[in-house]
Amino acid sequence: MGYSLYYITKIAAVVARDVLFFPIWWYSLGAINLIIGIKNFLVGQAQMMAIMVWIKNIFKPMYAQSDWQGRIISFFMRLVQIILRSIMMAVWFLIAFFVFIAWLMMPLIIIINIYKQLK
Amino acid sequence: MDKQINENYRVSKKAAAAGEFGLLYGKNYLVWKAHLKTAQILMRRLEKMVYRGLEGAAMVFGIIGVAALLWWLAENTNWFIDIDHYAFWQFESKRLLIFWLGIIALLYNFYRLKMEGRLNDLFKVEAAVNLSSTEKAWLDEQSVKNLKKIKRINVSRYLLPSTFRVVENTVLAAIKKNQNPSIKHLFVALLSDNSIQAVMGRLGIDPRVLKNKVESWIRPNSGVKKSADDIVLEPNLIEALLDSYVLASEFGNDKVSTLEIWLQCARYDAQINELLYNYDIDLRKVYNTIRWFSINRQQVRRWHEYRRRSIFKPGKQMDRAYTAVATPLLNQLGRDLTVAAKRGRLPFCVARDKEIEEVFTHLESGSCGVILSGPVGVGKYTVISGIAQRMVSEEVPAFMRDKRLVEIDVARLISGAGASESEGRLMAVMDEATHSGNIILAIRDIENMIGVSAGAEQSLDLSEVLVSAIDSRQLICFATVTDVNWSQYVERTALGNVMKKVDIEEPLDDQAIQIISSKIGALEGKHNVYFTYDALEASIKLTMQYMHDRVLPEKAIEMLELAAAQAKKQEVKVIDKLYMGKVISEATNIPVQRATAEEGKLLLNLEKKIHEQLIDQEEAVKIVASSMRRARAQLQSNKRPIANFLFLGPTGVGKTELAKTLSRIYFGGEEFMIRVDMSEYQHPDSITKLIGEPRGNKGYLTEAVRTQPFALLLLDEFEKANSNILNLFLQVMEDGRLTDGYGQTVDFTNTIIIATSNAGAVYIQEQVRASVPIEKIKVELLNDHLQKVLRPELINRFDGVVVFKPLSITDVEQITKLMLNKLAVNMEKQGIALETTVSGIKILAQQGYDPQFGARPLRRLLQDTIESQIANQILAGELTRRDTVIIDSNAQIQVRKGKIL
Repeated sequence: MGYSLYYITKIAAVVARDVLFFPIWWYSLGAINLIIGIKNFLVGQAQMMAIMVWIKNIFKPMYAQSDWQGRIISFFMRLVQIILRSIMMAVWFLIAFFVFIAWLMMPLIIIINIYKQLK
Repeated sequence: MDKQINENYRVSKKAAAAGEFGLLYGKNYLVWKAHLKTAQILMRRLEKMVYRGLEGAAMVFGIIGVAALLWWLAENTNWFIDIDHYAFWQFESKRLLIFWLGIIALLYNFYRLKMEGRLNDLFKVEAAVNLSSTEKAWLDEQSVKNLKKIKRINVSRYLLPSTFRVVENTVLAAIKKNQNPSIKHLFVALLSDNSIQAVMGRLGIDPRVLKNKVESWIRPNSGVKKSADDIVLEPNLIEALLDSYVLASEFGNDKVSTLEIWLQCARYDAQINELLYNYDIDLRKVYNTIRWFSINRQQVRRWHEYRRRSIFKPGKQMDRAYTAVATPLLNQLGRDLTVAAKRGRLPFCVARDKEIEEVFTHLESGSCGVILSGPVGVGKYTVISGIAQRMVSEEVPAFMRDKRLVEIDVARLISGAGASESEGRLMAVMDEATHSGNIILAIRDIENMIGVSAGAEQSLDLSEVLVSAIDSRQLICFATVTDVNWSQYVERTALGNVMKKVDIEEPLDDQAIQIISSKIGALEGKHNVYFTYDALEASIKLTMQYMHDRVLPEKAIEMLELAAAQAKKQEVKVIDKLYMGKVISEATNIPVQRATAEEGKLLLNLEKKIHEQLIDQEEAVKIVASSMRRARAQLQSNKRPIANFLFLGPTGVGKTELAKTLSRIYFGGEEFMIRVDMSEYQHPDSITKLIGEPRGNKGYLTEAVRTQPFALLLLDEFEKANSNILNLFLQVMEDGRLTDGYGQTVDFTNTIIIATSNAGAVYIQEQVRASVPIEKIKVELLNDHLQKVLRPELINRFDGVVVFKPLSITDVEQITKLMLNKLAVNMEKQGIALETTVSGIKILAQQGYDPQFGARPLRRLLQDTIESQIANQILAGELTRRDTVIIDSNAQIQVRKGKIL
């Protein structure tokens, strides 16, 4: 009997610690995890868009058309591509930023609403 | 694994009993430290249960919260029509309060999930420890403290969670029986594990049988009840657990699973080892099976990694920066291997990393062409596929990144075009390839390109075009060629000079098993069958033994496919060693019992078996049997025919009969005997009759052995053939192969070659009559008579020269009996019985015996007198079913009529 009481208190303590850690986790490890996840997503998107490849090759003619007309057309074509792709990337950045803000705000919103409902 | 004789075992008894020792492995010191007291285990499990309950409750509450919101919305928005109320947070209600609390519950659940995942992550990061392989030593913890720069690894932290649970179960089970946990407890606990049961399935044993047996060895300890603190793990259990870590690291796994532990249990417990041995399972088999599972797991992991990386590979003909030039002609004539690999259409390349690295090394050292050379079916094209896959995941040297690998189909290149036209096409393709800047070419069977019309008037060599492109470093090119064609067509040509050769060797034993086991999953899925490990091993062993003209892994894979397809048709679910043997024997025309049964037993009783069908010739039979045994024992490492014999003796003494008998016993029938009358080959030109001629007739001998590789080859009257033809057999008997007129190699290693000769027959008869011992006669024959007709090196090639002595009258009586018995068997089929009398047989033997011709006249006599008379009577209707033919004491035929029904 004494033993089981000991176990119950011990487990209760462990669980209580776990529950109390939840809000701390949200703004520490949880937030860091989210940042890492967002970073990986953006890196993947950047790799798909290959903007750096386009920037590096901006003076290289496309389709190996190395006459001067080809070079000029290529340059502008690449410029347009870089701009379009940059806009796409910017959109992704924006979305990522909103997700992060939402994460930070979430507990506050919930608590405010609960407070409102209780009032 | 005996500790006493192992000098690397330096653990004191006290330390072993307390579990305070570890395994020093290179710079690592492996120890086992885990909280395994009953209370601790129960606590851990209880904790887990509480968490599961908590998570479940939170989940339910979250769902209730969402439902509460929906309810509120339904009520206040006139069933979702009134849009104003969608901004629910502006209103007040009990139900909305429940919703917000529910959201907290859901978020808490998310947090729990992440926390568990984080624990697993920690596991992963830590577990990426690679042990550098050096000597093992078992040491006390005390003695290690003084050593510097040693990394301590607690193995218990590197077990998969499910595996650790099995260890916990082991401890609990042992405590219940009041014993210290031992390997046997662990072994029993492991047998309930899913992956171990899968391994047992592959090995073809029932886990329940093993479980009962091992459990019966564990007797509950009836002594004083031990307290929880007294329970310690048996030293050899700790040893097995620690060594499992070494094994897991050897397999390249990042965790220790039940598989590794199971193998170590069998290794560290002699009794379990013996038990497995009873089921014909040794440690090597267990090891290979477990590695098979390990490979599968790694393959899945590699596949995921590959898919993840391949997303970034462009799927079209362009590189990422759009600097490449479009290649319309190349796209039409070639096949884009990188695109095919990206879509997963190429065979997965396994166990060829060494070769691929060699290719890269050649390219990095400045060469622009690499040619893969090896026999047909060794997997040259698979290596090219492997390179394509690496290009997709970009695991290649920098200059190969962001490029396409395109295979040119030579057949398409030259089809429907004249010589100059196809050259024009190739030039155009080359131009495109060099211009585009992102193309790497692959050419399968490049020999087709060389000498497309070599020797003819309009001679053209397509390869010249390729050579100039590679030589000027405008293009990287891979090619494959068979090893034969390499030396015949490519080596010493311009192409051979610019391209670096990489040999693709035939994979043997373990490498072959590894390659094959990677194919099994797909095969099983396709045909809905199941292969045991033994079947895999048999497919390699038997094809290696009986299919010499082809190479691994292709021949084994083909046999496995054949077996799977057949099994599906016959509704066989499990393919084991026997089934595999049957399939291979059907495909190769080799009798089943030879491919599967134990040959040793047969050879041990060979004399007895022969004498059941052959009278006397004791010495000859003894020499043949013992030579067969001798030759067979060496054969495994030797590439020679099974045995070569020379039979000497007068006509009609049983030379051919012994050959026939041997064929019946050893190969399973007389149809496995190929008979060649060498007297037909007295002219030097007749060699073409024997081995065929280029673009002409096929050779009688080579064709017969090719279609029937497992046969007895009887060369009658050997010495009569032309000496040039006899020289052929020098090679056959020494190397076990012969090249026919077409240039194909025919394999003789599964044949028994018997040459017969009458040389010195008269001498033998004279000497035997003068009672000279056979041994002496043989020496004289070898030194004198035989030398005159055969060259000494040829005589030396025979495993045994066997002298047959003339038959005595008693032998002939025995033979008469044997022949009449055969006749009786034939008559039996027609329902007619045959009875003989002793004196009748004696008279027949007397009449049929001729000192000069041995037993040969006897057959004619029996045909002329007995057989033809019986035949006449049957035709005349005087002999019918149930009648009995009696050969009376005067050797005359009597008929006793049977009962009329």
